[in-house]
Amino acid sequence: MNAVEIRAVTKRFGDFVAVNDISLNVPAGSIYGILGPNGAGKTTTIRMICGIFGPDRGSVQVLGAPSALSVRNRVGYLPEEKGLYKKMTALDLLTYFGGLKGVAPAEARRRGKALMERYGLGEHVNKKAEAMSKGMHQKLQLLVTVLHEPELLILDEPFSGLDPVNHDTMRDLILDQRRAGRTILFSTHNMESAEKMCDHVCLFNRGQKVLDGTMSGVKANHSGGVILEYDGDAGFLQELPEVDRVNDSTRYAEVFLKDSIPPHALLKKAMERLTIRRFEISQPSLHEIFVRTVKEAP
Amino acid sequence: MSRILLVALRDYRERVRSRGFIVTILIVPIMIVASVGVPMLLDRAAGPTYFALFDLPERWSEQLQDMINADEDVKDNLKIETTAPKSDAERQSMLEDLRNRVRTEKLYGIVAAETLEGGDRTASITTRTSGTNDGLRWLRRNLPTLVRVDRAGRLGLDPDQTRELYAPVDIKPYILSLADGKSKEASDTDRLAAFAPMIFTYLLWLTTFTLVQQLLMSTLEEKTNRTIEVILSSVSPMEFMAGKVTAGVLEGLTILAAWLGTLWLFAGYLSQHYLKGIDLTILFANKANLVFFSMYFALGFILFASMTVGLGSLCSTIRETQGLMTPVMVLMVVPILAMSFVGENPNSPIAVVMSYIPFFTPFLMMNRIAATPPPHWIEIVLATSVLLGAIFASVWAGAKLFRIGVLMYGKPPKIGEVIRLLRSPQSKTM
Repeated sequence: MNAVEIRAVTKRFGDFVAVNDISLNVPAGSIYGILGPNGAGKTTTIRMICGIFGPDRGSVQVLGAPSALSVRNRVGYLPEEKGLYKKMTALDLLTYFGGLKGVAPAEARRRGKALMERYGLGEHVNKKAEAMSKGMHQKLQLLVTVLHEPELLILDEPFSGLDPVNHDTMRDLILDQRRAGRTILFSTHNMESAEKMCDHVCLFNRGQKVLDGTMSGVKANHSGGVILEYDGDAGFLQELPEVDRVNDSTRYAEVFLKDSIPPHALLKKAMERLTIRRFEISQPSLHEIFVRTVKEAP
Repeated sequence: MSRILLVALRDYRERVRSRGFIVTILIVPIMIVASVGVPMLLDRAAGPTYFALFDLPERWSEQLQDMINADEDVKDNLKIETTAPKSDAERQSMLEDLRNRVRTEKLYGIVAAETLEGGDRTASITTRTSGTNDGLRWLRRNLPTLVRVDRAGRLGLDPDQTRELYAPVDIKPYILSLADGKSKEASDTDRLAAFAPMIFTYLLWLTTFTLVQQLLMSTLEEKTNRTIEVILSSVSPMEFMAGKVTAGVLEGLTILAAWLGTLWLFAGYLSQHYLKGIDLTILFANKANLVFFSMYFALGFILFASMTVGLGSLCSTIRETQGLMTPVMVLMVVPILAMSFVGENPNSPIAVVMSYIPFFTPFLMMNRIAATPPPHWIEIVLATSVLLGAIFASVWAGAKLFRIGVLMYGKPPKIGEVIRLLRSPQSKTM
């Protein structure tokens, strides 16, 4: 069963086509990542899923309903640009937004306090949003999104602008939600985060879907490279006839071989000129898959 | 609880807790109390005004003193002293002395007699400034009577008859009751009641104008700090806009209740303790006026607020709103310009026609209802129906622009583009 189904959706803003004929299915209970660079159409797609605006063509189905607005109490949404009422206290904010999602005030306060306690904001329940640090603000925003215990959680660039500590808190919170059986759909241009968390991914570029599938399926369909950790000058690697491409970081390189070239052929030539500390045949990173897919796209 | 109500209550609570709200609540009563009370206090602190009568004919001085004693309004505040030099030398030094006293503010002015060519006598008043002192005004008003009586004597007319001829004439004002057709003498209170239409209209306009501006600021703030996107995943744009407008109506009614309550208390206190025979509370006596006042505030606010929220949502800064909001502001100013005329001529063709134009109806219909005679109830129903139709259109247009504009960033559209947006087909899901 799918939590979200998008069929041939197109959205234009004037002459600009933000999303062009996109279809995707988000399986219930999964973590689904919409990936792509800035301007790829991720936010536009998410806003259409949330019912903030409608598609010009195609259809969106959320939790079996034709619009997220008709099931809004079962959906939680964290926008990319996060904002809260500055003059309200954290607990009042949780109560207010919980109320908009159909949670009774007393219950919203109870859940709000419990969530704030659990995610390290217990001392700040009566603090006004304007007096909170950016990190606390972002945590609070996410708590606002999950307070009504939505079946579907839609997060637009949830890791954007987070420091490492808050990044981990955000990740834990997302994984907690997944353990609670909720579907999580999030967009990001950070491939590393997506790679570690997502069951399914969908890659967008210039308003079009360029790839989608399960994480393992996507990786299986793309050959990996060879990882080298070395000492010496690896500039010659790019010149080797067996090598297609090199991502060289001075002492670390990801080398992609041409089709049918066995990795040991590279090892032999590398050992002649470099001191090799690590040699590993890897699966391709999501980043690599994305770059390759975009390059190969017509 | 309905989402509209939740949005409205949150907005209302935030607004009434703000410093701006407290200032708004206090500013009008403080200004009115200050504008009435401060001059009264200053007058009381200043004490009586002193004038010297310099070398005035003896009977002028006596008559002037009699006239002052007979006038309750000035007898405690206007004091005169008589000086009569016996020689030219004394005359010169006495005049110099009096002038020095005027310069040093010990004396307000000098009243002297002057002989014109042909022997006609008149009076002159010398003061430090040509101010608006009550005593000075009184002398300017009454000295001519003395001069005329003097002139009559020289012409051989009977001075007593002349004095009687120039005695103040009391033209009695009567007002005709619309209820029973009988007339009664108009009191100061009745004259004051004639200001009621203007007071109601001005308060209505001031509240609507102030709150529409506040609503615009609040919409811009929610748009620029991106709170709106979180909210729009929980409520529809229409619900959100309705909640905000409802909060504005509640805030406005709170402000108006506070203003009217304070003014009523102040008017009662002033009438009881300071104003003899004038009952200022007459301004608030007609309960129907208060009902219409509240109703027209709510309707007028909804009309202008929905336009403002719609247009404001297309912009990101207050500067950007100026181009789009100017026509709305111009529409709001017209009733204030017509307020005085409509209050005095409530059933003139211009007043009637203008009060049927929906943008002016809330203010000018209130103006006419508080005036005498008020419009027929059929007129009230018709004008209000036209207004309701306009509100429906304004809410529709405002909601459509809001849906489009609230997530639109960058350069705001021009008026022509706004019209195109209004004509564009409705977005599918909203």
